[in-house]
Amino acid sequence: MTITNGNLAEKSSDTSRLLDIRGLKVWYKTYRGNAQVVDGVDMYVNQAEKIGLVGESGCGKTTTMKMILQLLNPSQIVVPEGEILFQGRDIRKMNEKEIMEIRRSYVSMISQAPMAALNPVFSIGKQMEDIVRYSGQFPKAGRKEIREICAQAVNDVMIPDASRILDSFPHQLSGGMRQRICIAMSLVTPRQLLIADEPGTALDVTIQDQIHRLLRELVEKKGRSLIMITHSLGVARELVDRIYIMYAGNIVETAETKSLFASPLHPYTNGLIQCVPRLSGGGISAGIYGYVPDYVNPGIGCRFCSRCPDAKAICAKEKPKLRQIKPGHWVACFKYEAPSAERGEQ
Amino acid sequence: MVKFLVKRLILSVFVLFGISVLIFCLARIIPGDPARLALGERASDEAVAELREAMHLDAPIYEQYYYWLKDVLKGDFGLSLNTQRDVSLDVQQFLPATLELVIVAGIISIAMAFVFGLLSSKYKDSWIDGTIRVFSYIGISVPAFVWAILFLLFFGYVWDILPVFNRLSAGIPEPNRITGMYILDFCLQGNLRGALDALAHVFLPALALAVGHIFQEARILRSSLIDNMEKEFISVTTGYGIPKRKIMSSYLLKPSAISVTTVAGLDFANTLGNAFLVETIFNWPGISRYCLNAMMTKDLNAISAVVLIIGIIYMIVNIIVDIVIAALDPRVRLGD
Amino acid sequence: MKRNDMMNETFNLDHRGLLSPSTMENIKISFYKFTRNKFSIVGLLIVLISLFLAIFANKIVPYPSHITGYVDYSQASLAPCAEYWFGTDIHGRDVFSRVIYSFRGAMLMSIVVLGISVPVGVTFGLLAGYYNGTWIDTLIMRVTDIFLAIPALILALSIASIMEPSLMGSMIAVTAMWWTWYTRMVYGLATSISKEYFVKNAELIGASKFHILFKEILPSCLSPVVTKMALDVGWVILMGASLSFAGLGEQPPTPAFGTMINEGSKYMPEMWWITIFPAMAIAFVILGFNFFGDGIRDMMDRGRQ
Repeated sequence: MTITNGNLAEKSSDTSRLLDIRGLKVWYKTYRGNAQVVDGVDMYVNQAEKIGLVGESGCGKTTTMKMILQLLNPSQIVVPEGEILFQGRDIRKMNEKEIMEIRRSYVSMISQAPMAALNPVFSIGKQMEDIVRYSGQFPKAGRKEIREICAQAVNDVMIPDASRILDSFPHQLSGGMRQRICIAMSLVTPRQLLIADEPGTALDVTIQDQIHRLLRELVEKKGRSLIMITHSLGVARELVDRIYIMYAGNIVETAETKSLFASPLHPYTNGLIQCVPRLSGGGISAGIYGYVPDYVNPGIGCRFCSRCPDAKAICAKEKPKLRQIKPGHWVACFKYEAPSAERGEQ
Repeated sequence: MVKFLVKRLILSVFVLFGISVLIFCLARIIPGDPARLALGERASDEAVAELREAMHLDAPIYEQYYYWLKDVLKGDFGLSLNTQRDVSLDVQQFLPATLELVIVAGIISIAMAFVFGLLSSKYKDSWIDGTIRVFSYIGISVPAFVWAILFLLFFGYVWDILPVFNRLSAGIPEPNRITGMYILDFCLQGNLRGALDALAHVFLPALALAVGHIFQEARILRSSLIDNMEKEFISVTTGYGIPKRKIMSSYLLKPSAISVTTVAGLDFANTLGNAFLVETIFNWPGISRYCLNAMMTKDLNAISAVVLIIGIIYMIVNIIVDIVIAALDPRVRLGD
Repeated sequence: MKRNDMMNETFNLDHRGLLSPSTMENIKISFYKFTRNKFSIVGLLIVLISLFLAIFANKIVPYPSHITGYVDYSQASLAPCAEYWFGTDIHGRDVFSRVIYSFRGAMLMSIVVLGISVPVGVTFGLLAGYYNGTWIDTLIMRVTDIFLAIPALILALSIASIMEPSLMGSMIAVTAMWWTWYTRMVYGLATSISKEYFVKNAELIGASKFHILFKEILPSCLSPVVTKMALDVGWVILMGASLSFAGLGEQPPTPAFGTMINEGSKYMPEMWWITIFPAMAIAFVILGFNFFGDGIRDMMDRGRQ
């Protein structure tokens, strides 16, 4: 059992990383003051790696991801610190043109809400063709070739009769179909990183499951990297290689999927795991008591401490740092920091 | 689309039928003898009796309606008390001028609304936006007939920039009558100078009709542009790196244009109504001025004809608005 | 969502399920919501001023005799001065007194018109919405469609034209067409509210139709109706002014905004004051009731606190 102090990002000397977020903080301006929604997030994604970002609604997952594509309205946010390195270059320091380049050719994001993600007044084909046309990756393709590329992408997401779908409008498609179209759009041009923001949440479970399988297959087949945002550890377990657990703007634990499920360390992770329904029964789990803290006045301590079954005096006074407990398994909790009997148990 | 249009047209025919009943009822509700009213105080009793017979005034009311409608469908509204001519002739003479006026007013209001709406959403919360906001309040609160008086005064007399009164300057001959709308007729005959002169003459009354709507419609366009800008689909499109200009001009503008088109259609009713007052102020020889004169003298045949025709014009405008909205919005076009 | 709100209202529960502070607090919240926009306060002030002028017009005008056919050509066509704030018209009458007095007719007209047309329109709308799909619905709504198919001012002018021109005539004309807007609005609301469970429940326990229409459905329609009424006061006044401008409303010598503007427009631009002051008064009233209506809307809006 080794305990290493220090920052997760500092340990990452590996330059082959596709995406590397270091100490990112994002605050929303509200009339009461700044809501500190993302409070120092460190995470990275390797080439062709699938990672999961898990946490409950409103914990800052989507905000973090939207920062990668710079999709937040700059007049509504404050970014006090942090770096978002994409292939070693900081997206936050890029100019408008370079950001457009990232959006066009490198990163795509599947929206949380398939119902709202498609423009209601344009046909699917028109929307998809524009993505291909403005990606700049098919400069020589004519109208017909672009249409071919789109039809292929629609076929890839297991929708038959691609040509009819391309001619139809969002309101004519079911939720599941729209979600597939959103996936097809994100994969229609080759991009290295795909961010999927809770795809399928709005759909019923069987279709949700199909969508997840489809996404995994496509990402693996095309060798893309994936960040899967979800509030369900069960979904993450099925899909991804490595998991980040996020709570109220902080990464509280990260590990390979297997390791995380074998020995979850953070009390919050434990709570989440108990929420995954099991066939073996036991009824509905106890869940996690309480609510996400107030982001405007989050307090100086661990943000989970008011809900934590293992909270101690120090938790309210100081913020725990991420520490490596086992190779690749990091956790931010004082439970594993004090040089006392608790460590012996591990 | 075809099905949608057919349904729309059938409904319109029913409403038109209803309007005719309403107008007929109004014309018969009036106290006194319609025949006496039509002929005036000094007409002989024999003449009145003769007209009563011709108007079937002794038959039951529904039969009267039947005879009236039969004539109306043939284009016969009877004689006008004021002009002592067939009302249908008067309508033919005066209608094109009004059409020209309201069409120009409609084009001015929607075009300017788009310009100002786009400006105020682009420069949101700047002085441009603020100025347009103030003007929208002024536009709401100052009635069209007051605008007409002010424009007449300042542009016509004080600064003398634009012509007021009459449809053409002296020395420019009337165009050969094709549609009766001078601008169109001049254009069809290739007389650019005449067309511009006609446009200059129609501009002030049209602006007086349009100015109240311009800034209101601009505010509506602004708020739907700003609403839509916050929508997920615009965020998604931005995320795919589609250029800002393209997003503004198509992905954002098209869904935002729907609400302002609807409102512009409703506002057209106001334009038609206010034309009654504005034409009088500018002495514009249109059907509204003609009808207002008829109203002052209880010239029922003329009133019925003009109200029915205005109803038809408004209906046609509504159908056009519906077609535009259907073209913009596939949910309307293809059904939900 | 709507249902939930209603539950909370019935039991005085707030969104956390706690007992909410009582009516006093509600009034405070309403007041806060109304005053959040400064324009609403301006609107409220204008509304109060208009009412005050309308009620006490004959007591406060400087020249009460000038509101009739008074003639004094020695004082005719004077520009605004200390004695005559808004100048005098061509008959030597004080424009200020006449403008102030016009508020009376204008406010009276909007109160009478809305006082009759709103209850009628709302009742028809409730009936058509509740009996959705029956002949009652068809009859009421098709008649409404016909009225709404003719531009408002033209319909009002034509109805007014068959009567003797007077303030009464213009009130009848405007009332006769104004109810249709309320019918259409309430129809839409009542149609959807009729499908809610609390209406079905009332039906199941055998509540009378009257109770269902006016005690169950009507309260849920009330906030848009009240908002529209506040906005409409200004529009009715404008309609009245348009009618009197055309000569089909209030007749001279009794002052009205429209007739004053019409008479004065003949003497523009030299005697601008005869026209401009009544025009400004109309703009003042319409703007005031618009701001006031927006404030009412903010106040009635449950969604945004």
